[in-house]
Amino acid sequence: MRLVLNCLILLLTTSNATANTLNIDIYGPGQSRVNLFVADPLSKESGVSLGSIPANAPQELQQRIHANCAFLPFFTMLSGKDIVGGPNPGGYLGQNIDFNKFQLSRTDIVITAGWLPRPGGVGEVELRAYEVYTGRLIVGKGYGVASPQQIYEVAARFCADLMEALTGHGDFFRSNIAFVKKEGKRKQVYMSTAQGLNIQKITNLDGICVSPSWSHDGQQLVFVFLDDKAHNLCVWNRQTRELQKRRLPGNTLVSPAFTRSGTVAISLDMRGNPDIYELRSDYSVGRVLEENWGIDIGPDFDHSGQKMVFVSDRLGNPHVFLKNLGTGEVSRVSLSGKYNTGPSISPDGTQVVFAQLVQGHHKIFSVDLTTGQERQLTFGPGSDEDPTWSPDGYFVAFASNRSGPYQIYLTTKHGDEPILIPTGPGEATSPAWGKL
Amino acid sequence: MQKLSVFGLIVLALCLTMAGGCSKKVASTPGTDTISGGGSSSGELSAEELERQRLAELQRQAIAKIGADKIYFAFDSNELSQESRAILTEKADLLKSTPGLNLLIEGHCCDIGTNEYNMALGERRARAAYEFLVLMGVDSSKLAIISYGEERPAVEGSTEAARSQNRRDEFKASAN
Repeated sequence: MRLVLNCLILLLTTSNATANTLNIDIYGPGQSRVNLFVADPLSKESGVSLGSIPANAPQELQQRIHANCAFLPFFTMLSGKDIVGGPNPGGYLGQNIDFNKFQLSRTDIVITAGWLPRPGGVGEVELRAYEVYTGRLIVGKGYGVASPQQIYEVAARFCADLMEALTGHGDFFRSNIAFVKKEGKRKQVYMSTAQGLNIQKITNLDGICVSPSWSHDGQQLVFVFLDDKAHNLCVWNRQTRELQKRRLPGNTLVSPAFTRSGTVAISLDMRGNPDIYELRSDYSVGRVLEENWGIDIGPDFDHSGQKMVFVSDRLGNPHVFLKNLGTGEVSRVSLSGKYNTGPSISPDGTQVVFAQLVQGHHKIFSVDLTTGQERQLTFGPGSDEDPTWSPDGYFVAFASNRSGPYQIYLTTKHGDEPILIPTGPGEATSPAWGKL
Repeated sequence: MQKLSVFGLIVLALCLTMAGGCSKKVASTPGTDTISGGGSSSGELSAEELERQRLAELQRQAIAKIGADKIYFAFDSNELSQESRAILTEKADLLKSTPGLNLLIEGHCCDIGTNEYNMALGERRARAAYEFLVLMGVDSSKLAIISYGEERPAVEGSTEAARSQNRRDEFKASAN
């Protein structure tokens, strides 16, 4: 669906950050926490009731913004009960807001909304985020909302701008995740936003779809489809929604991934052993990217296209390796454990996450490629598998059965408490993070 | 095809025994006398049909026997046990002694490992059986392999009993 959303006015976005302004370093060794309050919506004109705006849109938008911000581990979400003197901010503009009571309530940021009805549409809204202690406007944006379905996108855009103003990166709210859903004996590919919204079914094939992976421009999705007789390579074009299905040499197709240049890398057994090849643009088999007597699968590439991580059992057990495609040098990344699989390299090429088998369950580990330091990111019951980096290199999505059937969860490079990404009924696995 | 050519021979024999110019009539309404008179044709048909039925039965039994016994593996292993080798030897004998059979070897894994690695491991398990059968003299052109990783468990569940049943090769034979 092409969303017609008009950004009416850029009210004001302060960019003159000073030492006193609120900034959040999401990449530092530890991250500060910020108390955030999303205020109830207000009418921009006295005498115009919010009730005249259809679909309960003002309240829906504030709830969506609240839910979005709750995904960010550096926010502590406050409720109306936490605000001394009541949650009404007194106005949606800085000059009318009673910042004192928010200071008393230890609020760091307050978000306001001012609405007007819009003939032929839902309404027009001005959203603002203020830093309570200075009264500074962090982000101010205006939106025309044509239909209730646009509420989630308005919330996503505003939250992207807020996150970008605070951390320098807002891609979490601009990106999406592909994943595999189990439907009876079949498995189909789906996609949604990283918050589990706008869920779309991509495939309806009579068999099992596995291992989806996005192109670096987010426009193509590659995966393997298993029918009753063979493995097939599938490439889905997001613009045209066309699905190409191809047979490749050999019997077994494992873990396809797009290279930085837009070609597909995939593990094929055409020489009797799974090795990693790069396909040409016509999907014929091109050069070998990694070849060994053992199993070589799971290629993933950094943004520069120079670093490729993969899994190999060349040392007897599956371990994660890094190949410099410029020099051909291969080095071992996972140093502990006996079963390390499913690697994903951060877009900047500095971090690798993977799943390690620990006492019968998989847990997500990360390795800093600069220091070689290995760290366990997830704990708790069940298995955590198939980690995938967000485009900003801050979040890590993974599949887990920690609460029963496999679902998609979110943590960060710091190992923050995992948050469920709601994807509806049925098992969801194999998340692949791409851009919108 | 075979039926059609036998039928053609019968028609030809009928034509030869009838007066010239009546082939159309004979072909449309063959006389009972003529058919009973062609004793040798009828005998060949019966023998061929019997042979065809015998082969079909042989194939049916071989397909059932080949498919009945799976072979099992240890965790993260594609090594054939002694028991697996004995089972595969029986399958090799059946494949060699039964004409017209193809075999699809399916490699499967339990759910301990991760999906993609299991897809590669399933390939190795299927290939281990494939290579053993070829060593035993089975024509490799009759063999195909496919890995399903952990996608098609034989037994649902995450107990060791279920998992040990899922680390397996399955054998799907079919007639040409």
